[in-house]
Amino acid sequence: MLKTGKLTKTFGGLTAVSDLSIEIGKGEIVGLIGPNGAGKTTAFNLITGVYKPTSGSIEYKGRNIAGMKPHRITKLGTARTFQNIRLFKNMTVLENVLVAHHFRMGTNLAEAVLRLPSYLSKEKATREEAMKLLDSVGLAEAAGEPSTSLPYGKQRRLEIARALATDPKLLLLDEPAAGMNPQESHDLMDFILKIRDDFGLTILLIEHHMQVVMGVCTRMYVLDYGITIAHGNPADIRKDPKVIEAYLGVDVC
Amino acid sequence: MKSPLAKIADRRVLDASLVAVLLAGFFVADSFLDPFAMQIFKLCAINIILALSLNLLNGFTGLFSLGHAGFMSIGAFSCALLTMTAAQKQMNFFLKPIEPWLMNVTIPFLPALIISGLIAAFAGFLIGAPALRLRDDYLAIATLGFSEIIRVVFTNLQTVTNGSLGLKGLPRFTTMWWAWGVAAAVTVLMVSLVRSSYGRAFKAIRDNEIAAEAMGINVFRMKLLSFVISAFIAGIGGALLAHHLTTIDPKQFQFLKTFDVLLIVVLGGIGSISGSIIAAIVVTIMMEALRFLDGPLNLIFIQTEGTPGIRMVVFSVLLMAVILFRQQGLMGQKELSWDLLSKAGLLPRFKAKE
Repeated sequence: MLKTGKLTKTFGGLTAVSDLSIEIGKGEIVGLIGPNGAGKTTAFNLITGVYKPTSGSIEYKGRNIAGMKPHRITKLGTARTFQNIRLFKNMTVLENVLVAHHFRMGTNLAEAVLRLPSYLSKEKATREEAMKLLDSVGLAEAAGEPSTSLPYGKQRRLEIARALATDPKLLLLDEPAAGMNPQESHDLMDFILKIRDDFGLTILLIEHHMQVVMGVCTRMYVLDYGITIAHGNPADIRKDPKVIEAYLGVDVC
Repeated sequence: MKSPLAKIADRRVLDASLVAVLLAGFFVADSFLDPFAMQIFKLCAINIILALSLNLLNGFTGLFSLGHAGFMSIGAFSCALLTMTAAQKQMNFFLKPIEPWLMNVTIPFLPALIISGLIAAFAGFLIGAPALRLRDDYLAIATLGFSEIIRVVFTNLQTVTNGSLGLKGLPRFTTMWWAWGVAAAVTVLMVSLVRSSYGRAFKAIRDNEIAAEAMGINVFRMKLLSFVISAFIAGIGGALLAHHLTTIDPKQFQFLKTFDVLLIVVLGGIGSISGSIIAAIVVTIMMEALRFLDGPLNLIFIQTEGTPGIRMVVFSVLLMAVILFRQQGLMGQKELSWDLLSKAGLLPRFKAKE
């Protein structure tokens, strides 16, 4: 599904991501973990086209997408959420989801502005689809509310719903459990597994919350200072001395 | 309890009666306003058009553009040259003759209006394509620069625009019906644009560009689209203004002209169509009504001989007050609607939306 080869990104003298080679198969949930500043979000930004890689390749379904514009990558079927929530603040919950439908509606400006029947029927179908999506993630009652009036956990959920509205095959979640209490993160785990099955997704996940990562991921990659220091299933990672060192530091004496 | 159908009927009745009242108002205005008041009344409509076009950029797409005067002048000169007769052109171009291919072009007002809008839109495309790679203040500076470039080019294109002499004796096409008719059409189109899928894409870019791009929106193309539409409307506004004043020269479209429009947009509310309309009317009327301030004043203690420009101080103070105390402007991002009025208690309550 997704395969990166020796992906590297440098900012001036700083190598944020170095020789990152990950491979994700269809239907997998893979974790990307590491201490702060390890380059996880940079890796996401490379895969989604926000940054252009300095070197290396990114293959999505056998197609090289390195250096492509973000909106093109989204059209090919990769959607993401953001670490710091980036909702459209002055829009309602429903409108947030509708924006993600825009590129799939296939309307032209003239029919939209003149409100021709051809546009109105597409708009109606899109609204129904968006409401169905909101219903499936439990946000249907809040559809008309401003997106910022939602509680934090629901804002995160709306971000995921919005990403799902682009009809992705690959979903990248950047710290979905950040700032959640234990109950909320528990619900989130069930939610991630549910959308994987309902929407036939492959998921790559950045997360600090170990319970969540260990609970949902089948495999994981560990980054530290841009370098991949470990790779394997949750049980192995937990025991890996390099990982323990990166997270807890090593005894000097 | 009213049925949902009655609720729709209520709004339709209100809409229809509003249109009827407005139409009646226009007929009354047409026959009762004296020529001077009529001039200002028409100017209100033109300012509505210009404010809406700037608001599409600043308010709905979040692009801080200061190039409006440039697009207005392109529209104004295009329309003037397209509608003037050969004899009128000959009278104007006495220093240097007009380009021969422009000499005998004389077409009716409506196609000329649309063509001048299209020319302004094309200029918007040419300017937007490089400038929209910039953001925020940098975009403002770049668009400001382009609009000054347009002015300087027009001042020197003696054989096309008659240079700094400008064009005089334009046919007085902008009647009340033309001005307000176009203003109404622009308002309707703007409302439906903003409510459409494209409008949502614009607003998404305004709220969060990175997220909009991640949602599959081609941000650059959408920005360019918004810029071109805005230039089109500004061109039409400029054309109407030209045939309202009947005399134009490049100097009129200095960057101060952009600030007049920006003032209206900021006072009305960045991102509110009804705010722009209300502010356009209020500001246009006040610009004239406060003219007595420019004359000799007798403030009991202080007596002045009359200083031109004092009335502009009032607007500066007003603008400062708005920026200090009500940054969102008159309407913020809200729209004046029947629902808003009923929430404010000015109308009987509708049934809540389903």
